[in-house]
Amino acid sequence: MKISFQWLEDFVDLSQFKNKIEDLSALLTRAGLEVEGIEDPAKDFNHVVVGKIIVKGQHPNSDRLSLCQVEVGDGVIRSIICGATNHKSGDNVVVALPGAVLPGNFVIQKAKVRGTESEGMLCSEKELGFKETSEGILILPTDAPIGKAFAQYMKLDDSIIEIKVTPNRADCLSHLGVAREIAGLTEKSIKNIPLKKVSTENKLIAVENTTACPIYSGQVIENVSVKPSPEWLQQRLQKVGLRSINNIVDVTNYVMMELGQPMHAFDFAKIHDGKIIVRDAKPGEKIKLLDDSTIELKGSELLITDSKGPLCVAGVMGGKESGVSDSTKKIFLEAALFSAASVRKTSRMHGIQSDSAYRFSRGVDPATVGLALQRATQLICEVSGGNAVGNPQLLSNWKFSPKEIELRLPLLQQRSGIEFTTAEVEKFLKQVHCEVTANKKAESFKVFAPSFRQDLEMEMDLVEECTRLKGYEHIPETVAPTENWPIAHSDLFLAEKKCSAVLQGEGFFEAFNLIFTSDQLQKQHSKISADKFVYLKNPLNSEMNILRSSLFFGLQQNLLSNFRKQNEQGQLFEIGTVFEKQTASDKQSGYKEKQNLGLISWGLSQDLWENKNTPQVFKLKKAVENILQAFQISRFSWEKLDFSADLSKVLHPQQSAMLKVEGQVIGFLGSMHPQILDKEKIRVPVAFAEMDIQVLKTAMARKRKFAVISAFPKVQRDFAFLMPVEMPVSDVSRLIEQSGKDVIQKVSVVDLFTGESIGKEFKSVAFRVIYQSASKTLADQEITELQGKIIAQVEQKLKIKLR
Amino acid sequence: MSLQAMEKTLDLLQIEAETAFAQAKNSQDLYQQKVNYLGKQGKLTEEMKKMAGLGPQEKPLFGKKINEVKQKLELVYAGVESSLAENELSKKLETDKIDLTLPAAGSDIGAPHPVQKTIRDMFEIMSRLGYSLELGPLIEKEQYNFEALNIPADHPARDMQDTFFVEGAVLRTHTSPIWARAIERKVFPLKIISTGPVFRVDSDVSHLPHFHQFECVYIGKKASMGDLKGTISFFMREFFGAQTQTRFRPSFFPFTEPSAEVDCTCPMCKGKGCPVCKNSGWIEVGGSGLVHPNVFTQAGVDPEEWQGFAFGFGMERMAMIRYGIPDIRLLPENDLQFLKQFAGVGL
Repeated sequence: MKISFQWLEDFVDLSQFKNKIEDLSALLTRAGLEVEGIEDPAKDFNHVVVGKIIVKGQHPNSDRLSLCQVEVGDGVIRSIICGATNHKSGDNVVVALPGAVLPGNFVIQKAKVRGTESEGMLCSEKELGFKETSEGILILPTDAPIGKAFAQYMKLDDSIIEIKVTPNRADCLSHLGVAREIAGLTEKSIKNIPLKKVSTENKLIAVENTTACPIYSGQVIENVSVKPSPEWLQQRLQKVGLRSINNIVDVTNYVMMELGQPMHAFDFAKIHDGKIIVRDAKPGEKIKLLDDSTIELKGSELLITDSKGPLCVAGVMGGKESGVSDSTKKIFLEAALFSAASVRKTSRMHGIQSDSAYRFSRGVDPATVGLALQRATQLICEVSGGNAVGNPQLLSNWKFSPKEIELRLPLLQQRSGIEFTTAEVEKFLKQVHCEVTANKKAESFKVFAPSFRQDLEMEMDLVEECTRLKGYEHIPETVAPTENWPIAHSDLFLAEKKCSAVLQGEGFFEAFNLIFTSDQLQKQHSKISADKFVYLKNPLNSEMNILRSSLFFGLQQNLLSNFRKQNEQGQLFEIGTVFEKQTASDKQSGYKEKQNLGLISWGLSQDLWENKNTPQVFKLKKAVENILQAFQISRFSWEKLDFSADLSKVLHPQQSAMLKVEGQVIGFLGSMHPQILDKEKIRVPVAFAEMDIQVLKTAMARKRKFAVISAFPKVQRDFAFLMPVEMPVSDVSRLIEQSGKDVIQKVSVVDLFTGESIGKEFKSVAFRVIYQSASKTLADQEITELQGKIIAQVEQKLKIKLR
Repeated sequence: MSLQAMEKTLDLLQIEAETAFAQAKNSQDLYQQKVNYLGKQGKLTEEMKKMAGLGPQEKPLFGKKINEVKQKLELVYAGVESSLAENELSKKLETDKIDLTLPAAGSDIGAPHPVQKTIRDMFEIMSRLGYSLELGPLIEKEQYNFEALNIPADHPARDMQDTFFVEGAVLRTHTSPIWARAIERKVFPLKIISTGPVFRVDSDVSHLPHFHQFECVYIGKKASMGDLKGTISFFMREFFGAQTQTRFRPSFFPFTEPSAEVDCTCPMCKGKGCPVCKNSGWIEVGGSGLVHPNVFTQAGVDPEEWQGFAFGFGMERMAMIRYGIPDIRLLPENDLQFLKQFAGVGL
């Protein structure tokens, strides 16, 4: 909200802040009206002055340019070249002298134009930043004082204070409101605008929905002439960020900015039968609005109508037809109170935002309605030559009955942590225009809030008022009492934290991706049926229209963007939520949220000592297994990926596996499908894995337990099997492990061989088995016997041969 | 053969063996020579067998001589062996030579995301004060995101938080529903941290539609603005450093009353004024206040019996201030050149 210092001065004495605008800014911010910035509207007009064209002559070398002799009050006659045609000798004009910097960083300096020197520029309204377009230069009235600084002449020597008004302080959405706050804070009084009382006799207006419209008032003004507003009016609106339209509309906006009351002016000739009816819309009714859009009404909107149809959407936006135009001679001026709920609902339903809707939906002071009508009537008569017809009319179902709020002094002191005296509390509450009576013992106060402070509803609201007026800097820093033992932290959070630490140690970097992706992308890559997609009703764009079902989408993007930045080798992980909509088959409605871990690794290490022959995916496999190990999960296996599995499309069909932990599939792993890599022109191997971390969360509770360390020697034996290429090596190693459970310490693969010599369909795999007993030294013969048994088992069960 | 002749032979054998030992090229060669002369079938052993042909007086004399020669040879052998071994070791060491300025094997250390790191550090700080961390759903019922937090349907405060909608629910716009749910459990006193991702329809140079919050809530028999300020001050000192000062400014949040905006002295310039704090020496870091009586009432809790305070921060902003990250859009980009700057901070 932009507030003009000059305008504020109409209502409150600000002499103490003259040239000390920072003090005012600090005062407001300290009180909760945060000042976001202070603007000097004159800043663009240094070296810009009022001047007079003494002689308008012709440029010697151009037909289209004029060469003017201009006086600016310093006794020097300057030659200025001008391309406009609307000026003549004797005109008063705006002169930008060398050194001026006009809006848009337009630097004025002495310059030669077609061989002749120009000592400045005659300005148009566009060049001054007042209008988007303008024809010709700005001609000032004949009484404009020559030589006066333009900013001063335009009364631009003002300060515009940008205030961030929080939703609870609707009363500060006007100059009067901010002035009232300042008056309170500085203990000054408010200067009132003297106005007549509004009559309550009513002939013109009928209100059918008095809940949505508790107050409606209007005034007919005739003989108005619609034309541009006088300078002072235009300037004030411009300074607070409003565009000047015509004198009538400008006054309605002016009063809104001044008193906080949104207003509307109708062309009286367009009101059929000359009678206003405030009623609910009928479904299907249509109205063309001031912004030229036409909306179809649903039935719950409040309308201002005549006997024929809608004129205006109450408190939201006026109708095009009934609005004031250049030919308007007689107007009906409206000031009303529309309920916040009604205006808000309508404005949201139709997506219409306006200054009026903004104010009504935050709450307008009911007591201001009549005052605003009077103020606007006076101003319109003044600027349009019109005269008010009859009495203003006001129909009100609102009676000011302020709610009594009790404020207990001990409670105030306890909640704020500050000591207050009775006198202080009374003073503070009076500063915010409340009525206050202390009870006999002065332990509590009876408080009535003014009509414009609808946010003051309960005792705690008054605690805040007293505390902020005392100053938040007086709040001490105390220690909150500890009254209980802490409860447990979320296991999921702790599991995530641990997981992240393990992966950081493995050399992975933690990524953060937005949870949004596109349904197109997800359809392309995922096997989840589209009815399980979680669509946003109001997505930012079509690239972000659903919530991801996998971490793949984000991590793949990260791969691409890193690759494009020549980060050709890297590994990322992300821990994040993935979503599915539950459908009939899930036997419950709503959404499923799962916490997943995703890993991506690309580009084999260029490192001198690394084994370049290990496929990328094995590094990722190690990372996943280390996580399982960190969480003491030892019962897991890697099995062939089921091709109905989600995201199986993105993985290499011959280089992918799923992870089973304690009998349940919880994730998968694989090399990225070569088609995807080709399409994105990624020339390095990429591996991807994703798993549900619920199992890690559950494993958080597992305790470590000491196991006896064997004191007997370990014996190592190597042997190799010839097996079909298709057979998973883990089938053999698992069987070996199971066969010699008590004495086999570890089974590892030491060699993998394929080649013509053993036949294309076979591979030779050498295993190294370490035997160790917990209770005795294993004799050579014992081991040989056991190994014989194991080999026989493997040969028999898997139908393969020892090599 | 006479004893003299046999002793003579021994002397010659000794010289021959000593020469052979000395001429050995390596320890293997030396060992072979040892076998040749001193082994079971060695030359010395052969000589010993000749003792059988000597008389009883001569036998001990010859025996003694043999022993002398054997001891002598063993001594020589040991000397040569150790010198050869030393030689060989130094040769091996020479050939084993590697250049340790070559790059190390294995992968570099990884890094946490700076936002997650910040959340985890804040968690540690508040954990020390006995606050327990809770999480909640990201797709939230409107009831918990709004009504339970004193933001009724037509309240203008809903404009403060532009909401993403899915069918029948919303993406939570703040982490406050986590503690609204906790209050509903009615197990007091309560000290919790609620943190995680939140979502608002807002995407520009300084806003992400998906960002993170970190909130702390205290519910007890008594809770004052002073307790709130003390707790936040402690937190800020722990997080930004011991010299950090905290200040409150009046503000508005629907779920707190009184409400306060929290500023702290700029950690970049220590409050002297710099571009980060726009020369004010202070930066805005979060919001806070006493839990609004309506929040208790909504949950069926008597606000005369229980009181509380809450405060919260935007984690992206905190991480940016902490590490001097100039642009929020760097955070979800996951550029390795960015992430590598945080290598090891999470370990």
